[in-house]
Amino acid sequence: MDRRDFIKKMGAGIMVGTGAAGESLSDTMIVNRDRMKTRPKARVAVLRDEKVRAKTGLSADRIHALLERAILAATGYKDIKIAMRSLAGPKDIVGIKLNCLAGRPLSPTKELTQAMTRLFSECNVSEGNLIFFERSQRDLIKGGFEVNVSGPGARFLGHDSPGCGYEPRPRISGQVGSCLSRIVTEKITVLINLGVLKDHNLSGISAGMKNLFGIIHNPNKYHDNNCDPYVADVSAFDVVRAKLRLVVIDALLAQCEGGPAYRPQYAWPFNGVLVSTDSVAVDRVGLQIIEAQRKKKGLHSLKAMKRHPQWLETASRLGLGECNHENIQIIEEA
Amino acid sequence: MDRRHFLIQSGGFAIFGRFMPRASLPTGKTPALDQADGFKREAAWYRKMDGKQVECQLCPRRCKVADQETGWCGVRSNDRGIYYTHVYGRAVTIHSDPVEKKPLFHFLPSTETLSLSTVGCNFECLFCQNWELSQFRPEQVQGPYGFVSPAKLVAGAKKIGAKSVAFTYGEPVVFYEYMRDIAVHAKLKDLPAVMITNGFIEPRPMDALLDVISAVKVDFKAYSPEFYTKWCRGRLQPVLDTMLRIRKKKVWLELVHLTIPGLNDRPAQTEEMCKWIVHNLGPDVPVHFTRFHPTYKLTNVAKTPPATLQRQWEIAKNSGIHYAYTGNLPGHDAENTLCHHCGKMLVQRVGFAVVEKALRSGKCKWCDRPIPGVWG
Repeated sequence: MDRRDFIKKMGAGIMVGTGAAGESLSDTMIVNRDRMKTRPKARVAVLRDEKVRAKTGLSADRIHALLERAILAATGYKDIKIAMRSLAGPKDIVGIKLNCLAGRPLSPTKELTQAMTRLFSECNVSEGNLIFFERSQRDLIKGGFEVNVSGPGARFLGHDSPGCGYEPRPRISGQVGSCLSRIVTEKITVLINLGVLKDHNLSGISAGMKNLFGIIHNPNKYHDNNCDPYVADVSAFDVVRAKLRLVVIDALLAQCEGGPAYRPQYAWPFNGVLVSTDSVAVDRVGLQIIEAQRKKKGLHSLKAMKRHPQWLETASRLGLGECNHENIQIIEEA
Repeated sequence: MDRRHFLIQSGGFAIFGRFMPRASLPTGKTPALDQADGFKREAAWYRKMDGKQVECQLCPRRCKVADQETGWCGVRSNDRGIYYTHVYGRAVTIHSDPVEKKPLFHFLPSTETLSLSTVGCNFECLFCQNWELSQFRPEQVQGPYGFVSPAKLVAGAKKIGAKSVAFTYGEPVVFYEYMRDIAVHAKLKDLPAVMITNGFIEPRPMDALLDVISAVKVDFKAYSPEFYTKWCRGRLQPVLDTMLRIRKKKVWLELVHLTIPGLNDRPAQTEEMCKWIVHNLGPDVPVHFTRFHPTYKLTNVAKTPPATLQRQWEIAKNSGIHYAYTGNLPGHDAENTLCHHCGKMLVQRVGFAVVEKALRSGKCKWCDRPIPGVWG
């Protein structure tokens, strides 16, 4: 059965969203109404704003507005304060995992971290209760951030910052056995995953779930077999399941080949963010965006390159989220 | 006290002006960025590929590593198409040990060997006794020394009267360049270098290394490809090839088999292993059967019963191995070296201490037959 037949037979296909900026993601929007009756769809906000790039650089205000709209769309709330409170309360310590491996050009943008800080502050999570963190202080600096261990404002920590480090004993999740970041296990009560949308030479893509390799002490041991099932197993750690509330993918600049390092020839301004409370769904949509761009650039698909992120299906089987695009609602306007 | 703390705390020698404190998991100071870069050296064995990828040619894993990524061992990374080791000069533990502790029983007995390690390993044995070194990355374990040059290390060994330098605790294959340069310096000072290894290394780097190494102890974890895959995340065949290579180069070789109840202690498998050794390496290669203690990810298996080790030892002797030993069983008779020809006591040991030697110029004091080994 091809896609056309499938849509006809289902008799319920609707195409949603034409996207204000560029190509539509409507291929993912086949809605099975029968299923909807029994199972809510995973919501993934894919919001874009071509005006985020001002002549002087990125517009902090537009990025703030973009993130706000995306969080509203992903959570389904109409009031941003209620949406943010659904993620964290005033007593929470919120940890935001960054991904700075590729250096400044392809790390989460400072403006996005500032927008997140502002949004949490506006709903009574003080800046002092926010911890942006990475594998090491060195990575943070590479990504253009300043380490802030004890100064005012949100903290920026590496696992090598004073008082951080890893747990003394490994925990097991599926085939992964690792010492976990003490920032994640001890310091924070809420985890936000702030990754970057990019290609990865082994895992296929690096967006949300792959970014969590940065909370274990031995990610180098888990790159075999295109990181399957390891990416899924890391997200399946009890502490991650319990604390992870939101995934935000910085796709202001995305990259469709040559990752995880920055390769300007394969990077393109997507000018958007992907946001969801569903780790698997948001990566699934990220995969489609990468694949679409690869096609546009005349590159083979990740599947053809034997780099398809099979760990998405594994993660879905583990109950970590929705991998079937039929059950994912992409919201492109809010 | 776990093994790492024991290793680090039990009687440090003031080689570098202070006693050896424990290396720590990263909870404290971070080395300055320029200091971290001081440990960085271009790797000796790799090839460049398209798109700034590299292929590591040091171990049989042959990692293909993308720009900004790290190899499986965790101590080598690709920076814009150049492959680097990050552990050159980055010893996190330096200690003076009896050479018997390696264990090497036929190599300069009752001498001290200056032993060192960096972090990292190209295996992940779920029963690793030194996992807090081997399974971490350089930036995660802060050693107390800063940069320790090969010259400084060798000078330190000489100063304390060590008779050799040992690359041990972690897996020296992953700090190949540092090990090689230390061994070269040591050789210039008439100080032998010994390597305690899993043997998982490519032939060319091993051949180059054997020119400057005087003895190797290889962990023969099991005569079973499945065991290597399942419990060590490695492969058996390259390890067998390394042992053959060491013998061919006439470098002194001893083997250790860590006997784990239920996993690699089947008599039939032990017999197969011993027969392979006798047939391929010869009966004079000493084999140590050592006792397992639960650790790392294998904490639900009991310590090896002494009777099991005794049985392993008997199988080895019956298979034709001339010098079989038990280990981690202080006081057991099979810690001693008996002359294979006349059966009389040559080296009597208690734990790592040698209490009596009956060797003269490498020959049995009683029957005057040569005893295989390096006796000084």
